[in-house]
Amino acid sequence: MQVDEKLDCKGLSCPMPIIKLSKTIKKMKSGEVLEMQGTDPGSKTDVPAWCNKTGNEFLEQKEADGAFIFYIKKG
Amino acid sequence: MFKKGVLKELFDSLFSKTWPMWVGGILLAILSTLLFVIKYPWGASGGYVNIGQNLFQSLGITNLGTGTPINMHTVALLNIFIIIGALISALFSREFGIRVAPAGELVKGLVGGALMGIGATVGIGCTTGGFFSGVAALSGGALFLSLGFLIGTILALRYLLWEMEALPNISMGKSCTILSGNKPKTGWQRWLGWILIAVVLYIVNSYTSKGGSTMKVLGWHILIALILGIILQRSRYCIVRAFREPFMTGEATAPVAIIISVLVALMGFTVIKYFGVGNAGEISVRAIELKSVYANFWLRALIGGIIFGIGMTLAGG
Repeated sequence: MQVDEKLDCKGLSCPMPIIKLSKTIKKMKSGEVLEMQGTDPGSKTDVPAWCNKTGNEFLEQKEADGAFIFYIKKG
Repeated sequence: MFKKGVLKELFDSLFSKTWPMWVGGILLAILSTLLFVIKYPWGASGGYVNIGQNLFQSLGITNLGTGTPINMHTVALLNIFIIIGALISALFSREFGIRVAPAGELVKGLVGGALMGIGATVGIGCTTGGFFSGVAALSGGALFLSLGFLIGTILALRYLLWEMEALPNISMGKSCTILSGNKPKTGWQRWLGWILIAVVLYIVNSYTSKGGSTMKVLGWHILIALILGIILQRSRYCIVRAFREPFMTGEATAPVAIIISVLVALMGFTVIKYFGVGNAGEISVRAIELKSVYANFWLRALIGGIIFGIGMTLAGG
């Protein structure tokens, strides 16, 4: 998968990951893919819900080395 | 006989997926009602006042008032065992991990926590006792406290957005995660969870097996706290989120969940008060209730609410 932008939210807790995600997506172009990393277990439900609400596409989710990795395509 | 593996399957499904927040909300409301039957509705900040008093007392500072010992204080015990219950639930779900935020975030947590302490003291109550139980008990102060939370949340969110533009370094930097449950080989987490359950049950038994209703009431509080902690962890029931969500994502999942649970608690509390069940029948308790309706009504509740609201959003979690 081609990743256009990366966002590191490791160690951050609610609400910072979503605030940062929202800001990063805003400056991206439609169709670009964001890779977001985080450690907050709440993100597992928050990020897909946020994508759904804001019209962005939630591509996939991985777990590696104690962190969650999300791929989001800007809608 | 059971089909082999049925219990394990049930356990796995309870502790692998997050429960809907409204389900958690209804369960919490029922337990808060049960606490009201036994003693008082669910609260939290009073317990921290008690823990603080004991801490200062042990440091030789006594002019802040002397508190009941922590192991004899219902709300302090609730707070401690809710945290242990949530820990057990995180271990069962293999979600336990120690995640250390960047330094700037830790400072924000400290400042936010201090603001929450000040706000809860000024406004007489926090999101649990002042809002969740307060609204369900139809306290007028709770309405102004809620308004304060709303104003505080908006102010703090505006600050966070400004901070990200002006001082982006605060939320960046070195963070670390240890013992995380997302790694393979996390079978030990469940075993540790079961050991902790056994320890908590042993403590409950040591309270309830002693004579006297006070000890039995304390024992029940520990047991209920354990269940509250598990429900809170599984459903990620978060009142802060309900105040924050409409301004952040425009979602209404958390606000709806909180409204449902407050309504359930409202029905439970009303029945208890109408029939004068347990403590609610005593004149002294009715007097406390009147006090919580009028004493902090309305300026203290509003100011305390705003301070607490800023603190809770800043601290995050």
